[in-house]
Amino acid sequence: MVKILFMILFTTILFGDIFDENCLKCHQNKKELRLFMNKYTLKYSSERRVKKALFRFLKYPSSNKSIMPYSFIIKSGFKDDSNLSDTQLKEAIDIYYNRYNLRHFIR
Amino acid sequence: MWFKLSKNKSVRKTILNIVFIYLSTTILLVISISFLYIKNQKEEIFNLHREQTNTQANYIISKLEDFDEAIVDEVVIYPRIDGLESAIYDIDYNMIFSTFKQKIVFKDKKYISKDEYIYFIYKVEPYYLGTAYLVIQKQKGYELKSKYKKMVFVVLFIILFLILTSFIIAKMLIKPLSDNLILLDRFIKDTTHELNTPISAILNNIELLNLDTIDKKNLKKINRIKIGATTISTIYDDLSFLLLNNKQKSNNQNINISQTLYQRLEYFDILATNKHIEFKKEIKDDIYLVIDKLKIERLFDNLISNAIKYSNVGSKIIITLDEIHFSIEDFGIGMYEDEVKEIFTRYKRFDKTNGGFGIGYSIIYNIIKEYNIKINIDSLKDKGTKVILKW
Repeated sequence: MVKILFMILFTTILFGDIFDENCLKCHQNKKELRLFMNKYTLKYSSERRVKKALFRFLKYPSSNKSIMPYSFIIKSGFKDDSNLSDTQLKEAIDIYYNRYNLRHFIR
Repeated sequence: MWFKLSKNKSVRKTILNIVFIYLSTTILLVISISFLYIKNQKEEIFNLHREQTNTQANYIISKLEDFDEAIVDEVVIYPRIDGLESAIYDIDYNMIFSTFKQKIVFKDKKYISKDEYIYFIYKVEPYYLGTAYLVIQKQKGYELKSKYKKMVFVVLFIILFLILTSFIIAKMLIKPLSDNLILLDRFIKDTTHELNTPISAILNNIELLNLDTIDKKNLKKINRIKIGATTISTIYDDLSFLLLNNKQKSNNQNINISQTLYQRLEYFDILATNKHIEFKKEIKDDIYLVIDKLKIERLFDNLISNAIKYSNVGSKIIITLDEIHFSIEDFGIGMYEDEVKEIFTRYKRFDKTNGGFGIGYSIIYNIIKEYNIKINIDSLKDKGTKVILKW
């Protein structure tokens, strides 16, 4: 048991978490990530609803599920369907929400 | 005093019933109106407070909008206003940020009132920083409290006024009935007083007559006079008891009620003989009871005279007396179940063909109530009545 925990900790330090590994490869612009999160928050408000909408989009991305304007989609295109499992995708979304949602920065 | 209640029980009961109905309906109306008035005032005061907080709410919302538009990477300073506490909540009512000292729950409300604060809830859309609701805390003013106080004072005054007027109205409504009852009581009193001497004279003179010297035809006539005078004498005794003796303190003694019962049966013998009624006596000797002599006589007299009065001609009356009970059973017109229930009401008479004032059972009731004697009346229409007294 201790060995397993040690392995998880070791790989996390070495390779980063699931968000870093799967999302930051393409989305290196932090301002862009903040913009996406702001747009989702502006439309869906609560953590539950934002995460649900993000999951729905990332699982099978399409223009009608996207929060971004059509011009942005034309310019940037879509990523492929996520190959992460539901649990992994939810974990990545949790990390994204905690790092980029402004509610965590209000003082 | 003008609001003094009548001494008559039924009049007093009627007055109280009218007062109760009048008061309950009008008080309900007054309370409903007051409730609506207070609700309206509450709305007005809250709207006034809300108008005052509108500017502050708009300022906070505009600041949230600014944060949302600027893609900041560092800490966001929540827009604070001096002397004003506020909080923001998301669409699922989760708190995003708050300067309140206490937690509040406000689902589907425009405002809530908690402790000494009013919380005004503003819907925000789009959801800047996820904010779907902005809540602003405001100290409650004293306007509502003073309105409540005034309202309570006015309502109490109205209720007091209603209580006073209800008694006047009830007395006015009941006056004709009350007057009639007073008139009837006075009439009975006067009549009773005037009856005493002639009845005594008739009965005493009949007793003094030498019946041996009178021929058969006249003896029959004298018997009829005696029956009539005895009946009047019984009515006189009942009326004088009801009007005078009933109000006096009882002179309780250990009475041989077997002896009293025999005497009373002998007294009524002439009435029974006249209707060819046979007394079947199952009376145990020397039964004693601590009671007022006059009252036990009135009790027996009324039960015996009723039994005779309502018996069929040629029937029998069974009279039983032992240590614990007395019963008298007749085989006559009987009563319906409803009539038995109302039997103790004064002046209530079910059979209009026989004479009387309908006070017999009222006297019986007063006496048995005083001595805690239990009464049971079994009656079947056209079969007869059995009255049982238990002590």
